Amino acid sequence: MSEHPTAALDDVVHQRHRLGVLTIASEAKRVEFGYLRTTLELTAGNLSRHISVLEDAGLLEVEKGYEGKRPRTWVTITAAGRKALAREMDALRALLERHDER
Amino acid sequence: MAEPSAAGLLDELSRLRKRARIARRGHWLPVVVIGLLTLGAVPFYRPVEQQCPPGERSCAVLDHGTSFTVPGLGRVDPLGVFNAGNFFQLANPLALGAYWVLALLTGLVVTVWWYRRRAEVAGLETSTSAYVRVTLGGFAVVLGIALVGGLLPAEVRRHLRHDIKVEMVEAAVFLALPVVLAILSERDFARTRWYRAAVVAGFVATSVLGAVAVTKTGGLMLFAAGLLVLAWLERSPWCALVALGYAGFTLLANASTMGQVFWDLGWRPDSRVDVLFSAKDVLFPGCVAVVGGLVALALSRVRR
Repeated sequence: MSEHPTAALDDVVHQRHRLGVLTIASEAKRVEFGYLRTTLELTAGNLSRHISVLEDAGLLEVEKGYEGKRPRTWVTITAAGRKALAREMDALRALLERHDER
Repeated sequence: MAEPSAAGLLDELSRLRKRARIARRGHWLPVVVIGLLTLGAVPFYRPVEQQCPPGERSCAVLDHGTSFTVPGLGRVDPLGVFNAGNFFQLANPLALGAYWVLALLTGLVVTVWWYRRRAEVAGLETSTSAYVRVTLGGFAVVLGIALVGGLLPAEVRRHLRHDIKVEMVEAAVFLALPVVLAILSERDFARTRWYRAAVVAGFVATSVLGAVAVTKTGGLMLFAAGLLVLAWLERSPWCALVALGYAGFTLLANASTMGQVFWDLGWRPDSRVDVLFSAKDVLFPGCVAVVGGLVALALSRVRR
């Protein structure tokens, strides 16, 4: 008997907002903190915590800098992050297919 | 309970992806600039003024090509893909070749600068490394063509160019190869030995194909390759359509059919005196890019 698709879901990635961060980051070379906060409708503190979790897991790289006097934080998805996102999407699609078959 | 939320989550992620793609989209400016740089080449296509003896309609003129002799290689012309093969002899082929080199470099610098600037505004940065690779790789291929061109026997070249359809296919492969390699360079596959081998094989293949099948349209070809890569980087159907239009007219120009196209459209001036007609090869690609870029700008404004 094949394994249930939920077994392929990664707890670090599966959280809705973290999945959102990875999805957006995978669409660009790098993403600015402000864009993520506005698009995902999160508070700065909340988003920082999600980014830290993904950074600690090696799925994101964070680069802090300044544009003039304004501090700016840029987020880049790593190769491991892309793979983790692809795996998660596959697991979600498999879950959906299983649901449709019933 | 988990299954329905999976569908909802996938929908939400799809929306986020689409929104991010639209937000980072900024191809309108590079496309307009490429169009203007293409049209900017028009004055450099001025044909040489023939001063024939009275009563003679045409006569031989001195060849002002940009080739020179390299011992062991024969005649080498690094600018040949930009300026050689026009129906009427150019007044200043060196100026046309130099213009294309400068235009391609300007297009490259403007594109990289624009996407960096756009990243500061939009909060999302589009990677331009594949575009940079295809343009700089294109310059390497131009040099490769010059070297291969000197070594390739004229008979072999004639044999490989015996049919216009074959020539079109060869030119299309010449255009597609660097685009595919540049796109693959963005993937993990680019770190493998296979990719490095493919780059070397691609360089040799495009140099040989270029020496055989590319005449006068080297600048258009490199811009077309850049536009195709840009369309892929932006995942933009409109940019892809503009790039394909530009590439399609470039292939027609390379097969020397633009004169026939304009003839069929009713424009039949004497290109020995009409600078615009002598630059017929760049008119459609340039206009397609300028109009396509302006439409992309209008679409981006409507979507905001």
